[in-house]
Amino acid sequence: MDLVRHYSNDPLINMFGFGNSGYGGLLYFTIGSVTIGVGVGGLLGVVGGAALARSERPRAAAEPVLITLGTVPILAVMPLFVIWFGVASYTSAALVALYTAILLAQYAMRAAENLPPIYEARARTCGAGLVTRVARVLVPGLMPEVLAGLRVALAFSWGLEVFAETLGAPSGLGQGIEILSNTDNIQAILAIVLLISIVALVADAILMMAARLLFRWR
Amino acid sequence: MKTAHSLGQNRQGGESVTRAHIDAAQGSARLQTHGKNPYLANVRLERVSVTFTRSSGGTVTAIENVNLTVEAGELLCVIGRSGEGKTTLLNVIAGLVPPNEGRVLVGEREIHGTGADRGVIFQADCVYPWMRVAENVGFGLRVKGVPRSQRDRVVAEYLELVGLSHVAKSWPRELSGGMRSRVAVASVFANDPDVLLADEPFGALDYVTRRRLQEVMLDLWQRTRKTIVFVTHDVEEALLLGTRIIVVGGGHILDDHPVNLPRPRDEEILASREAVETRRRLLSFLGLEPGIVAAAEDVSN
Amino acid sequence: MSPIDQRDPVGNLSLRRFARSAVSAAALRLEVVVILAGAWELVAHFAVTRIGTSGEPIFPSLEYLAKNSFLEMSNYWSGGWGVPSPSNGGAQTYLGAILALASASLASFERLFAGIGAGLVVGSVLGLVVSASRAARLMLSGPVHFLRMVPFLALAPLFEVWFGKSDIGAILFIGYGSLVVTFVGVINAVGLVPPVQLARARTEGATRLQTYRLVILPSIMPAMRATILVVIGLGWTLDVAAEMLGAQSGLGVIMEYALRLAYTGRVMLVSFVYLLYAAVSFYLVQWLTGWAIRWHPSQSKSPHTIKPRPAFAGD
Repeated sequence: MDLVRHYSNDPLINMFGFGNSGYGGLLYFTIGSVTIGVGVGGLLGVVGGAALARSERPRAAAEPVLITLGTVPILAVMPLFVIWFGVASYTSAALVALYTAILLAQYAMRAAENLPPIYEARARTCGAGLVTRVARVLVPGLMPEVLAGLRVALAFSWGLEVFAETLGAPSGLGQGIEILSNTDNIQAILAIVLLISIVALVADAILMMAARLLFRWR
Repeated sequence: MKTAHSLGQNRQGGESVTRAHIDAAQGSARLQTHGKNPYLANVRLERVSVTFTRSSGGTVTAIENVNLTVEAGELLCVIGRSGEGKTTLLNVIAGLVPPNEGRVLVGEREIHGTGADRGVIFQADCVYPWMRVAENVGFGLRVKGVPRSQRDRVVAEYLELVGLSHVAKSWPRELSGGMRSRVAVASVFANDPDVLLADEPFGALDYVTRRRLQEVMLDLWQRTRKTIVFVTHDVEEALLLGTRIIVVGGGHILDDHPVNLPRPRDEEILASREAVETRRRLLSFLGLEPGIVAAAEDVSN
Repeated sequence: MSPIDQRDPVGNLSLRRFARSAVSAAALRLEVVVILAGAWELVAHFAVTRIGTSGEPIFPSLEYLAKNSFLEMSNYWSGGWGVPSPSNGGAQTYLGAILALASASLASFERLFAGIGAGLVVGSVLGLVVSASRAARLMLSGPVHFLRMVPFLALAPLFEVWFGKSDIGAILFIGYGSLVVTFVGVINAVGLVPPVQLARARTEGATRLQTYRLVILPSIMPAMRATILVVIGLGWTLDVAAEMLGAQSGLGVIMEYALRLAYTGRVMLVSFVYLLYAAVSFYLVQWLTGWAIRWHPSQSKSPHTIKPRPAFAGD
């Protein structure tokens, strides 16, 4: 297929100003964007969610907001991001980060709620300080659920990223599709879609492997 | 709650089912067997074996070459250690598991699969949470196509017999464990099967609730004289309920004796010498009491 | 919790506690709204830069959105019903704005309902058929589970190439996503029906059809409700995506015009409208489907669902 041939160098892509890259360059951009978006968003979401869950009122306040945010199409704010950030390399990553943050905040909050307080109490009575408690009790305690949320977020992020790229990104497989959609090369578009699916599958597999390694105690 | 006390005529020596006995019971019971011949509600297993294949490849013989005859109207209790075949025995009579060898006959007719003539009270909770109590009890009748008015009548009767008339319109989620067990018992009896199979139905209940449910069970049995095969791990329960007790171990029937204790089996009778000897013998088969060593010989041949 | 409260399991005391907690929950919601609005205004106050092309503030205040942006929506009203059309020289009116948004929304709704509806129906039927028949399972399982791994949004441009920027293309796109999610949902749900429930139906003499109608379908209702809600969320996302790629009608058209000229306020407004619709439809469906699972333990209205506080709780 063309994809393999043009991995490193595609005249069509060159024409549109992606430099001397083929589909490979686009792929790296997409993967990079998703990784950064999910990573940053995930971190913010988990920290925020866990922090909110600690006290009754902030949690009761934040819960319905987060749940409602979880039901709405985050894609609807992409045009806003385009206005604010322009067609920058981080615009699509920002959208992915926002989506991931909201989702993971929900997961983290729920996990923190369900964490038996006795775990932390025990650490306290052993004289553990805040940092130790967070690192040794909270984080491992939340991890399984956070990982489940991460898996869900990652799965959706691929599609979100690619589509966001279609709308406003300097590179990425989404832009590749955008260019190709102006030609009649349906085969090439399908090839890219296939590529994304494979990437999503592989990423999921990697995540599950990492999880299994980290959580052998489960 | 009506118990056996009110049906005074059962203080007889033996529990072998005689014609007179059935007539007497039927005469006093409000419930009909819908004109079916009660003599045909016996169960026979002829050289039945059941083997399961493990997903890892090996085979497990659950029961092997079992011969058993359950007379109509008997309340047969099956005891034995976990995983030694008693549930499989029940399942094979129910038709949930086909025998690899041999055949199962109910009412002298070979069975193929499940049927409404054999009702099952399962070990796990199987009260349908999306049906109110009355609907649950009437489920079998509805499936059979019994018209609404008749169905309602039968359901109301059985609800009263198990003491749940006041929650007929409730959702199962509002009921306690004991009440749910009663719903299960009522549903199966309402369906009027020829044979009733119970798989440790009261195992998950606390002691007091279990004793009450046992009374319910006995009461319904004495009214309807159904053939009941009752699997339990509890020797006391078997002694209280059974007209006959068999011990299953290692896929075979290790012991088979009638229980001739008079009813109602109150504490005194259960402490009598005969009861204690029976209990001892059963416990020894279960490996809990020195005495008659539980040989692995199959007494069913 | 005072000892007296603990001692009184049922009765007026717990009812009052329940009522009190309901009122405080509403007050909390109001508080949240006020705080969010305040934060918004704060940001708008400091984000004073204006965008070159449109001259709009980069982060419009709530007042700006309500007065200017909303009013400008009437620009998209092409006239009729006695309301002037600014594009034809008429004045900007709030009524015009409402009508513009309403007619655009209607177009979006139509697509959404058609797509989600078709997807739910076909997906459910396929799911039930596949769960019931081994032949169907062998045939359809593979392809559908493969399709499931393909990110829906990435397919949007493909549908556009296949069907152009037509309504039917958008409906098919939304329907496709809904179908796959529903199908997988049904298969999973049927697989989770406790075997003892099926065994009971068998022993009580139910036929296959009766088992499906009286046991399986009710049993999977809670899971299906969750699936339906997911489909609604996904449906909106797919609809927004289809409209952003260029639709002939609907809110996406307004969004596109506004985006082209960088009208921040209008873009924000349309985004907000999308989000509002999605949230409302979600909660509406959640409420409507509540009836179908009214028997479920989670739907118990008893005030005794207050979880007992663990011994060491309370920071």
